[in-house]
Formats: sequence, C-alpha cells, structure tokens
Amino acid sequence: MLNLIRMNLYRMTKTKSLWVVMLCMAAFCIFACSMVTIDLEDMQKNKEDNLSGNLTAVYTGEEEEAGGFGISVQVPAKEDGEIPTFLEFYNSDLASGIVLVFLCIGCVIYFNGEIKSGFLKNIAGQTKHKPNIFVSKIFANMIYIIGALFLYGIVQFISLWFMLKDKYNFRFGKEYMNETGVLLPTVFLLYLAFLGGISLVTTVLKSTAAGITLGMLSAFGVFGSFGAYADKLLHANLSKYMVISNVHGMLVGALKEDIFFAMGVGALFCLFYYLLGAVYFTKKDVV
Amino acid sequence: MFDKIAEKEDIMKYVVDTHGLTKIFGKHRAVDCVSLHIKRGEIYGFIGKNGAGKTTFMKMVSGLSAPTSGEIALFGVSGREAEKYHSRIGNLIEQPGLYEGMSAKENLHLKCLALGIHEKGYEEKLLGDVGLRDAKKKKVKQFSLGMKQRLGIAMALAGRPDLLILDEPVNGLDPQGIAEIRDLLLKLKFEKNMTILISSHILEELYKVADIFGVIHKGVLIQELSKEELDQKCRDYTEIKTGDTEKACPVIEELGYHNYKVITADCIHLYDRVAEIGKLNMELARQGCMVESLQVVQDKLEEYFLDLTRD
Repeated sequence: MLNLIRMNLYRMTKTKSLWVVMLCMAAFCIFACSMVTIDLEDMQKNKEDNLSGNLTAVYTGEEEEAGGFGISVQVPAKEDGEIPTFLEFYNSDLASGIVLVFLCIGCVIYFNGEIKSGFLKNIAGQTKHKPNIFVSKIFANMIYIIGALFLYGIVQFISLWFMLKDKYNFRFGKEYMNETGVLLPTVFLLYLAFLGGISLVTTVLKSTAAGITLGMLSAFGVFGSFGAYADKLLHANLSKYMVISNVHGMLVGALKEDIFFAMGVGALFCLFYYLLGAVYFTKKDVV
Repeated sequence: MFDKIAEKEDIMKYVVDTHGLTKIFGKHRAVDCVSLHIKRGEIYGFIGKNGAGKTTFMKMVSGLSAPTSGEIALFGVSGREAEKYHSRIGNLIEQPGLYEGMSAKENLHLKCLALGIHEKGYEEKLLGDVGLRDAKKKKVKQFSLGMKQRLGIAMALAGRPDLLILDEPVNGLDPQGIAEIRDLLLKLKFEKNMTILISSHILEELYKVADIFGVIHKGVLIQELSKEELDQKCRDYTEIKTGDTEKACPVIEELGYHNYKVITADCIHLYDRVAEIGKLNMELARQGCMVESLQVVQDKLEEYFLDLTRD
C-alpha cells in the first residue's frame, strides 16, 4: 500500500495537467478577487443608506442557493456594511464549490490517465491486493485537495490584500480562526467524498468526458434539483444527505449541528465510495 | 507414497499449469477449456490468429483477468494461494502501458515505486538491457513504436520476475531490434533461468527462441508440440508426382527410403535424403516408373500453422 501511495504521489508531481488545473484555479481566484471591489462598492452604498443598522453579520448566500443550481462566488454580505475578512471570503468560496469544480477536473484527468495509458496493466497483476490500487488513490486525492485549499487560500489572500489595501481596512479575520478550524476539515472531508464518487465514476466508465460532465453537474448542484423532486416524491429531505448540499452549507456562521452532520455525511460517503471502488477493482478485469 | 512425491515434484516443475481454463464474454468463449503446462526455464511460444484467445489467456495467467472457470496453478500452487505468485510475473500485454508525457526513466521509476524497488541505478540497468540507455530522459511521446516496445519489456522485467509474459513483444521493431530482443530473451532463459510465455505473429522469430509451441484457435488449444516435433513436421521433403504410385513404392523401398507417405494416388512424399533427388530420379526412370515431376519442397512454418488453423 505504501509503495502504491509513493507511486501515486510521484506521478502527481509529474502530471502536468494537474499543475495546469491548479494554475487555472489560481487564475480564476485572481479574477474573482478583482470583481470583489464592485461588490464592496455596493456594500459601502448600503452602509451609507443604513447607518443605524444592526452590527451582527447576516449571511444570505445559503438561502439563495437553496433549490437552484449553478455556482456563485459571492462576497459574504454583511448587514452592517463592513467589508468581510479574508477568512469569510475564503470559507464562502470553498462553500460555493468553485474549488471543487477544478478539483473534479484534475481528479478525472488523473484517474483516467492511468486507465487510458494502460499503465494499470503493468502493476495490477503484480500488486498483491488489487483493491489497494484504488484505495491508495485516496491519498492522491487528499494531497490534491490540501494543495488546492492551500493554494486557493494563499492566492486569495494576496489578491484581496492587493485589491483592497488602499481603499478598505482589509483584515485576516482572527476571530473566525476557531470556526475555520472546524469548517476546513469538514470541507476537506466533503471534498474527499465528492472526489471519491467522481473517481469511482471515472474508473467504471473509463471516460474523461463522462467523469468531468458528471462531476461538474454535481458541483453545480444539478443533482440537488433532482433531489428536490425525490424529496417531494418520498416526503423526505434527501437533499440534506447529499455531499454537495452540505458543501454549500459550510459558511462562517454555520450551526455546529450542521457542521457535525456534514462531517458524518462526508465520512460516510468517503467510506462508501472508496470501498465500492476497491470491490470494483477486485471483481473487474483490467483491460 | 513415492507416487505422491513424484507427482508433487512433477507439479513443482511447472511454472504455469492450467486445467480447463475458460473465459466467456457474454456468449463468446474467448478461451475454451485450455490445459497448458509450462516448465521452469522454458520459452513457450504461443501461436494463434488475432482474436484466437492468446491475450485473454495471458491476462488470466498474469492476474489481470479472472477466469470464468478452470484452474491456474502457478509455481506449483493452485487456487487462492496461486494469486500470491502473480507478483512474480512480469508482463507486456497488448500495447505497452506508458505515460506519454513522462520520460522512459520516470515510467520505469513509477513501476519500481509500485513494487517497492529502491535500488540505485536499477532503472538505468534495465533500460540498458533493452537498449534504451541513451533515451532515458526522452519523453515517451517522442518514442518510435519499437522504442515503446523495448520500454514495455523493461517494465515487464522490473522486479526480476520468474515468469515473463510477452504478448507480441517484437511488434514494430526493426530487424536489429528483433535480434536484440531475441538475444535478451535467450540471455534471460540461460542466465537467469527465467520462464517465458511469448506470443508473436512472426513465426520464424518465435521458432528461433521457443522450446515448445502451443497453437490456439478460436479459444481452443489445438496443438502443443516441442521444437523437435515441429522440426519433424516442417522439415523438407521430396515430392514425387507419378502416374503409378503402386509401381513406384517398391522402388523407393528398394532404394532404402522407409520414411515416406503416399499422399494421393499420384503423389508421394519422401522425408529422407532430400539431397539425393538426382539419383532417385535416375533409379525411378531405370525401373520404368514414369515421373511427372520431382521436387524438394520446404514446408514453411507459416504454412504449417496456416493449415492447422484453417477453418
């Protein structure tokens, strides 16, 4: 297992497309940060209109997402008109699922690369426990997620600081450190589960196009809409148990129960997808 | 008791021993009840048309595909226990599985990492064995088909396997490359006592390296024969076309030819003393046998296998 993990990590460093996807994500982050100033000007205007407003921050993003689909990277709205801190921006972007879209593309390319190149044939026979080939990839996904979260954070911080330093009082948001400390592992787990599902789909369908399409649709919340139909039909709240719905809920100010629930969903889906992948690898011929 | 020991020793000498190995895809029997035995240190040439079932069989032995039924014993061990021995099998099946964007050395390094090999200079040595030492830093996408085949063989050799399974390994190689691979295979056999299962469409080439041949057709192993047996079947012979075989046969016997066969009412094949065709002609004429034609025929390997696998 350790050997396979080593092999995966080495391959990751040598796979150019993964670096390209990361660069695209960083470029998108820079672009999104450049658009923030427009939103902040609107917020400043609101502040002037509402000088006697409540000082408590109110987040509306989650409500706007419910029932619809698509990804919106928004400035976390504050009723008091103060500009959000870096950690609020960061958590909001992670919850929007935009990072997940880039991760999904990279993950599909990485997984399908092994199948398409036929490299799998070189190692599948000689690997003592075939399921380990799939399970070892969980570490590749982990490293990829950590790398993406870290890169997005750094790029976002530098970009926001650069864009806002002259006009606004841009702060890191130390007061949200503890909250982020819980939110980030939850988001990590949910992302890991999401990529587990995408990895499984890619492995089974052996198609980059199908993998990326399904991944994007899921990240955009299209399946959430189907979930809404299922909710009506079964009179149950199935959407609540979807990975992507939980990702969207991981904003600063999220309730502790929701965070722990999301952790549970992430852990369960992780287990389910990676186990299913392992079983698939045991049963299926390597072609 | 002695019988049992003898039986066990007999099993142990077989690196691959399959019994009724079958693989069915839907309604198609890709491999049908194949029972094949490969002895330790032997080079087994696997021959068959495209789609005959060679690759499927090789995949099953390599552990890349599960049989529908039948049994595979590897290194004298069968059942679930045999699966442990898949790690001792190196394979190159169909096209070499390589990452085009990586160099030869990086591809090899990946395989070495997966097998837990951390020996310094090991990858260079393997690349040197297949004649790719100078191309180690070159990206695989810049490789010719032959170079990719060589790298595929190097990948199969990683981990010092005891059994090497090579499916069409000389595909796309130039004559010099083919000769080099042939020499490498013979070196592996004689120096490292490696057992090799190899398939190739270039039968003459296969003939030069293999000790035993298996012919598979439509999933069925139709013939297994040693090099000596093949030589017997493919040797040169004298073909006599005569209007009267009944008259010709006693003359042939009288001349000391005992290894002959009457093929049709007007055709005889003589398998001995093919160089003495002139003397034979004179003697037949002297005894009053009308000879319509007399020629030495070389039954090529290819023709033999084509006849064997003709529908």
